[in-house]
Amino acid sequence: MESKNILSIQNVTKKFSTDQGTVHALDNFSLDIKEGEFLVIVGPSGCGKSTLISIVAGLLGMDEGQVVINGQKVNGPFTDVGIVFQNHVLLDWLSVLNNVLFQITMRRLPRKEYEPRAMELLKMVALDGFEKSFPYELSGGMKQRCSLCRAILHDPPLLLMDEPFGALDALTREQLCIDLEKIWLGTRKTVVFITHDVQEAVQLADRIIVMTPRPGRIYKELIVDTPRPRYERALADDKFYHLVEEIKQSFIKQGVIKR
Amino acid sequence: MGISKQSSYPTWLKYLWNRKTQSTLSFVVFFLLWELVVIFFDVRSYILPRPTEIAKAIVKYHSQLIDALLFTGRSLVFGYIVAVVSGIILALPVAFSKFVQRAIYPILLFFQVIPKIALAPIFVIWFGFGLPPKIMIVFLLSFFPVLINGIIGLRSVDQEIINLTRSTGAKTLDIFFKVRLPSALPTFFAGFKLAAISATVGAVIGEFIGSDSGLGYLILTANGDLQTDYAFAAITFLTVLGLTLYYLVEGLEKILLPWHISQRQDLNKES
Repeated sequence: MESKNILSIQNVTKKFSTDQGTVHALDNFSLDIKEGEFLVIVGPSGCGKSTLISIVAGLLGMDEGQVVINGQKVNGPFTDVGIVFQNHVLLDWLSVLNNVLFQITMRRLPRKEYEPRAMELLKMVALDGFEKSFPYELSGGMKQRCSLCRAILHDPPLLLMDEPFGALDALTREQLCIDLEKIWLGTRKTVVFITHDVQEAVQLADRIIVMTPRPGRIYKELIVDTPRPRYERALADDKFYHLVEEIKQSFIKQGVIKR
Repeated sequence: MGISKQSSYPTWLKYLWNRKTQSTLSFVVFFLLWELVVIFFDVRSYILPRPTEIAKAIVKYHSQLIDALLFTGRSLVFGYIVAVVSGIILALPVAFSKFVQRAIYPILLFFQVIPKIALAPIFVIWFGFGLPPKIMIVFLLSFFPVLINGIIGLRSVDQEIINLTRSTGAKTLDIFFKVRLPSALPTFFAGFKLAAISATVGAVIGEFIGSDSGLGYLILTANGDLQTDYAFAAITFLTVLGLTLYYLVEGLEKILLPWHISQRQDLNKES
C-alpha cells in the first residue's frame, strides 16, 4: 500500500547575501517524504542541510519554491512540528519536567493533561527520577534526551532533527540512536533527520538522501530495508557496511572526502 | 582539590577552621597589623588613626554618623532605583529595534564616555544644594552599567531557543516573559552589581561638591579639622552602606537565579 506524502518540498531555492557575496545554500531542491518514514539527509557541512530544516519549519523564508506539510503550505513558523537541534537548548531556569512541558506552556495547553505523558517519555529515555533536576545537573546525553522528549510531547506528526547527536561523544551517540529508534518504533512519526555521520544514517534511516556540497542538491537516494530494531543486526549485517561504504564512496566521488 | 590528605587535626580545630572563619581571619589580621604598625612607628593620629581610635570615634559621634548615613543612603537608594528601572526600560527598545539602536546608541555611548564626575558642579548650579543633584549623580554613575548590561543580556539569547519558541506559535509577549527575560536576568544582575558600586561613589562625590549633610560632607569637614579618626569613622559607615546595597542585590540574585552558574553551590564547596 502506498502511503501518502506528509511533507513535500518543491523546487526550493535559497540564497544568502553576505559581505563576501551571495551564498547559494539550496538550488531547486525537491523531496517528498511519506507518512511514517524515517528519512535521513547526509551531507558535507555547509551543504544547506540546516537551512532546509529551518525552511521546512517555516523559520526561514525561501527565494523560490514551496513547502507543503499535510496539504498545508508553510508560510511562517509551522507549529505542528517537533524540532531537536544540535544543541539541547534546554532552558537553564526550568526543571527537566518543566523543560519537557515547555512547548505545552508556550502553546497554552492544559499542563495537567500532558504531565503523565511527559513522565512516561522521561521514563522511556531513562530520565525518570531526574524530573526535578535542572539542566546543569545532567550530562550532555541526558540533556539531549530531555530535549527529544520536549520535541515529541505535543505529539506532532513530523519530527525535524538537525544533527541532534552531533555534539555528543561516540558512545552516547550510539545509545541515543538506539533510544530514538525505540521511541520511533513506538510512535511511528515521520522523521527528517540530518546528520553528517554516515553510520548513524544507515542505522536509523528508511531512506537516505545524500546531498552535494553547496549549493545543496540531491546526489543519491538509498533505501535501507534492514528489519528493525536494528542495532545488533546492523553490526552483524554485511549490507550495513556496504551501504556505509557506498555513501562514503559517493562523498569521495564528489570530492568532499579527498584521498 | 585533586588528591587530599586525610587530615589529622582535632575536631575543635576543624570546627573553628571553616570557610567563614577563614574569610574573617584575613580581616582580623589586617586590622591587627594596622594597629601594630601605627603603634610601632608612632604614627600621629591625625595622619593615620588606629582601628581602635576609629571605633572610639564611631561610638562618640554615632548620632551624627547615623543622621549622615540616612541622608547619603536616601540619595543612594533613590538614584540607584531610578537608574535600574530606567536602564532596563531603555535597554528594551535598543535591544529589539535596529532603528532605535542606530539612532540612540551613539548618543548613549557619547554620554557614557563623559566623565560624569565633571558634571557634578554643574548640577549644583542647576539643582541647588539639596538632595536632587546627589540623586542625579548617583543616577548618572549607575545608569550606564545597567543599560549596557541590559542590552547585552537581552541580545545574547540563544537563537535556537527563539526558533524553538517561534515554532510553538507562542505570542511575542510570552516569548519575552518566558524566554528572553529569564535568560537575560544573569547579565542584568551583573549590571546591577556594578551599578551598586558606582552608585556609592556617586553619592559621596555629590556631597563633596556641594552639601551641608551626608557622610561625604562629614568626611570633608572632619578632614578640615584634622579629625582623621572621625573621617575614618564616616568612611567606615560609607563602606558598610555600599556593601549593604551590594549584598542586597546579590541576595536578590540568589533568590531569583538559583539555577545560574554564578550561584551554584559546588563552586564554593571546595574548602
